[in-house]
Amino acid sequence: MLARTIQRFSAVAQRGFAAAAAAPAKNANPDELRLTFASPDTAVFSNAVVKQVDVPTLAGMVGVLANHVPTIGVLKPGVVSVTTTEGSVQRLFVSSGTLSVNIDGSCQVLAEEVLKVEDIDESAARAELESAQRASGEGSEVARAEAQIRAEVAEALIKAATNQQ
Amino acid sequence: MVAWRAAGLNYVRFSQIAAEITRKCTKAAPGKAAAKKPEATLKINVWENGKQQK
Repeated sequence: MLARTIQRFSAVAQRGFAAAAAAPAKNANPDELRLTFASPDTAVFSNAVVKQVDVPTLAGMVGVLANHVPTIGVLKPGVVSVTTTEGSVQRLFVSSGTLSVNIDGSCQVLAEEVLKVEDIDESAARAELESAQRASGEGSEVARAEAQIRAEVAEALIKAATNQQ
Repeated sequence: MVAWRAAGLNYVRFSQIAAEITRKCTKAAPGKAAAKKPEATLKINVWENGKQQK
């Protein structure tokens, strides 16, 4: 009797808000990594099977392979590298956004802005870095913090454009 | 703690600034790209006492 009650309670405890959303896709092989990589106006990968994804997050660089432990994270400005099953590597710059890796092998990288590394305007980024650095020493605490963010993003853009990252 | 978080900013603001700078530093028409933002449509229906207002 008691055992049955505990069992019923544990079944209730396992149900979360995202239970429906996180339900594993039908016919999906959990031993492969399926990537969805998108910004609000473009989808770079849509549930495509890939070999590896390297994502810069606030907690550090995260490399995701198949059978990765479920993870969530927020993106840092930097380069996302996607290794396809054929072994070719695609490098794209992301401004910010979220990363989620699910138990069924699906992985979502949702960025606010996605840019091909070749499309970065390096001189514009250098100009932005300079103006941000000048602004980071003056004004209110909030203005200084915002300038620091601009400098960080510009630095990441320059690094990405010059292949340092 | 990160400096911007200590200053009272949240990640949404961080993301907003980061996206703005990234748009600014795009090769294809830098000026235009900075102004361009993803389009969004918002429709608002007002309800009062269980009836939709027109």
